[in-house]
Amino acid sequence: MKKIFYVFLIFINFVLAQDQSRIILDKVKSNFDLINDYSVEVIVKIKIPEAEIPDIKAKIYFKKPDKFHIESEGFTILPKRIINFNPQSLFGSNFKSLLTGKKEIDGEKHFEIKVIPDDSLYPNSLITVYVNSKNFTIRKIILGGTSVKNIESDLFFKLIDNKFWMPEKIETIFEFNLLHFPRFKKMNKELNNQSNLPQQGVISLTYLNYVINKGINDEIFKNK
Amino acid sequence: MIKTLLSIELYKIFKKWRTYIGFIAFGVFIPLMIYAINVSGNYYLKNFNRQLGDDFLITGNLLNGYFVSFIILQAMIIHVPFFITLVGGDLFAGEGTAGTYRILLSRPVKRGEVVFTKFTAGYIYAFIFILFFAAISLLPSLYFLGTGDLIVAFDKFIVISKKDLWWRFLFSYGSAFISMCVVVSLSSMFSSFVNNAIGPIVATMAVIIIFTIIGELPFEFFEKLSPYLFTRYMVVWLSFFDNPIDWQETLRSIGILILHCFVFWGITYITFTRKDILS
Repeated sequence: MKKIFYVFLIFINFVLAQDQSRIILDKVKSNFDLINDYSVEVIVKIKIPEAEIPDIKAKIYFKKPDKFHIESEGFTILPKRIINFNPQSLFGSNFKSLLTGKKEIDGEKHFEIKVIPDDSLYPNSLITVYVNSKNFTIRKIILGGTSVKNIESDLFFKLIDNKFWMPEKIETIFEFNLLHFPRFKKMNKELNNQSNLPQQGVISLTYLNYVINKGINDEIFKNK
Repeated sequence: MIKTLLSIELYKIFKKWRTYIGFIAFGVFIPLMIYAINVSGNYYLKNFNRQLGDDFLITGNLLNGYFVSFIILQAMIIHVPFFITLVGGDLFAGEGTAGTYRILLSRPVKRGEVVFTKFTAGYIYAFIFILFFAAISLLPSLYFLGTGDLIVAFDKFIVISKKDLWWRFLFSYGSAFISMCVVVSLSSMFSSFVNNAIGPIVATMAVIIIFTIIGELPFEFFEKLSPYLFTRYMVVWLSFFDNPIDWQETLRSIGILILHCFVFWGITYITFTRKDILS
């Protein structure tokens, strides 16, 4: 009888944790629901041990429900799911979630939630998000089941127009193996032996000059 | 007098159809190459996508005119000496074959002036050829594929912003011209030894091929020898796509190439001024 009771307690706890995670994620989503469209300038800085990529300035456009466009003249690499920071694009519409704990980050309490999207786009994907308990913004995202090893993003939000919580900086750290390309030998130097060990790359996005809910022409999103 | 001699030398160069073999070959092949690269897509972009996977978004026009011009430059520049040699190897030997040495030197011109004008005419041909090569690579590529950043992979991947590319290309074509001046000088020097152009052409190509092979062989003996071979410095054009550019090494390499021109020029002068044209 006791055993059944414990199993029942665990089950109830699991269901409640699932419900709690849903409530928290709904609050995260409701933050974003206030936004119909936005445009923002973003400065992209990439640090990869075996690459020298100049900083570039890009412009991002978003319009509900899922129109997204980046304008950038130069070459850059962006974390696809993070750059949009829209819960809809991160988790999809159907997902399973579980509140797995609480953690203090920068002196503030954050909820740790595991999310498994049902989306066929990202099969076997496990997302861990840390949600700020005060303003319900996502502070950290850890993406599992990705094509490169470990993608971890720190998001720093600020209040825009006293109404919208939007990120002012996102820093993404990822691990990857050596990029294989035909390389040129310099005039008087032999090519260095390339390490096959995983390397760590960092992509920093700094967002500037948000324009929110001022309307964006659909033409911007066409044929891009 | 120099001006007249130079115009005569240029006339002699450009009236021979072999002068145009390189122009025809590159004029046909390079547009074909641009088309093929355009159709096949960007190998680098495909590789980036494959290796970084679905989790990253890559922006920018990587398959651009600069990228294609760079690919053409590195693929074709090694073959340019052959076309240059066809002209350089004939500069002096052609006179011997045609039996015009006596006519040329019985005029009131110094032999040193003849050497000077022949070398200068050869350099002008090399300059026009490199100019044509640059134009046929860059102009159609930029017109059809647009501009964008350039990715070059040495030890590191270097992404060069498009605003920094025009002067890098200018310097790299300029340094390629200096490399070709060495080829002109070498083939002209060989040409001054004999009366038939085939020998100097084959000898120049043999020297370039053997020196290049020696420079690539990973044996200690050859590695020690390598700094003394001018072919090692002929790839100086590539250093203009490095970041940061090693100016000291680059200028040193260009200096060594120019020094080779003077040395070959000097040997030719000594040979030519002592040449017996009466027997």
